[in-house]
Amino acid sequence: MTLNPPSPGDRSLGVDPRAKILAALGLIAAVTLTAPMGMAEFALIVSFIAATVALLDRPVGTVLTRSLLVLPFAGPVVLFSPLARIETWSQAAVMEAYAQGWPLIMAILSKAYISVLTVSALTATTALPELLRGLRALGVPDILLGLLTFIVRYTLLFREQVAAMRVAIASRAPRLRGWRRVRLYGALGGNLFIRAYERGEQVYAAMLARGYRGALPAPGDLHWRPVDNRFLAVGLAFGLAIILYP
Amino acid sequence: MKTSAIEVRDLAYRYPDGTLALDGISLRVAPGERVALLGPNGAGKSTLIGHLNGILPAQQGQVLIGGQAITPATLVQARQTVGVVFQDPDNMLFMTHLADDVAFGPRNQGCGEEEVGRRVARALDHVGLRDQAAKPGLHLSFGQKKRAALAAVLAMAPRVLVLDEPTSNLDPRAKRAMIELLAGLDATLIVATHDMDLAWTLCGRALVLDGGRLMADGPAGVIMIDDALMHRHGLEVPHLALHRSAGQVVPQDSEYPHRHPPGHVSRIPGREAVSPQSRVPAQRLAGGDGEDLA
Repeated sequence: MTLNPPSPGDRSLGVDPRAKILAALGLIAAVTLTAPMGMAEFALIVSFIAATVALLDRPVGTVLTRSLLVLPFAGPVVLFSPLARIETWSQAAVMEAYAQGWPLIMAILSKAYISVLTVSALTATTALPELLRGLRALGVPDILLGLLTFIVRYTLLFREQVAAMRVAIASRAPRLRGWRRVRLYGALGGNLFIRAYERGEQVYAAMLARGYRGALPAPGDLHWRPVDNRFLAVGLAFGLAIILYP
Repeated sequence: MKTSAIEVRDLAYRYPDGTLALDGISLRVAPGERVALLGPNGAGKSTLIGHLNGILPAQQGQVLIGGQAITPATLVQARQTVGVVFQDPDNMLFMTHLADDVAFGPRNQGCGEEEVGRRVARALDHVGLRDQAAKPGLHLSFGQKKRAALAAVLAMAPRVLVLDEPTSNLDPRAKRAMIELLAGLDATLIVATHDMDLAWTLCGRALVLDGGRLMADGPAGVIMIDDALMHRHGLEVPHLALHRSAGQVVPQDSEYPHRHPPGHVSRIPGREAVSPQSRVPAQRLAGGDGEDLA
């Protein structure tokens, strides 16, 4: 999920978060449940999402680039996926599996990228409180919303702690580079988690002190408007087109 | 006898690692009082603060808010009555916009959106951050974060305001601004601080905590100029008081208007003004280290 704090203009984007969430879910379902796509279809879907992001006045390049973060996670999985079809292991069988498996690799990667791009687009165009309001209005249980909020907050805290520790290391070991630096970060990993956890506890205490009782307060009702109907209709129609496309 | 704003009875607390943080603390704070909670690092100040609105449960003893003991049944009311401003403002600013951070408390109190909006606007006005409402709290300067954290609690209209090191890490100008802000509030104040000048300027009563025990309790003008007492507990006489005794500056009480709240005080948003009460007389403390402060 995108963690960058949204800009102050987010509330004026005008589309109900429920419409965005439903359209995003529809699109992801359409992409993941249909047959592998070709490059042209891939480009068309990415263009559609990018255009939506641009229409909602958010930086398209950032969203497209950020979505590439899925590759290190999905990459290793899809790289080994053709090997699952091998019945008798041999060098020739492996070569054959990859020769025939590239379309599968590209299909999985493209679906993974588009799914993450859709979520990135959703979170880039919707402030977290709005997203939570939308999810709550769609019936997502409070416990899940609370967890989501804490994960986001914990991730931000973790980033702060990493930044603070980097400064501390740079000030006392400015020449530390390469593998030695990586080893040091590895050794400090546990410490980082503990620090972030302790900060999380302090934040939780501060929330309790201000009346938090397990459910995030809802900042008012949402109002569904004609523009939300149009947004959702376009999103679902595009998803339907993907499904129906031969 | 009038009901205390806060009463602590024989409170003790031991952390899971075995550290005895509080050991038989008893005190009463009258409505409208301004009390400085002084003590060295590790004295138990923050632990005591954690008990004042039920963040930490009492292991022994009781904490009463407005005469009512804090129990699971009264916890919500206690947290509405006693607002705690924590030392690190980053711990209090976790929403994406400052306005949402300030609205967090009122929304938890069940206020309608219109009322929430009013409270947020007034609280941000009060601390001079109205124009920062749309910014993420994490992007403010440290001084602004401190004021934002105060606004987040003021928006809940608490009757008792407890502040943990409100001026720590502030530059002199931001510190002065914070003192002026606090001086203008009409709530009962409990200020845990190492900033002796802040305590001297703002509070009429001082409590000295050390090793989890209450060592002294009395008028700030008596406690805080007791050099031996201050040094014994890792504290020092406020510079402002030293200047007075050295004759460099000869301020009268009227030159410290905040120590004796003026007739006109600004109201916490959403609450009626509280009349300042007379100071609690100095006490000899049983179980302390024997100072006679009366």
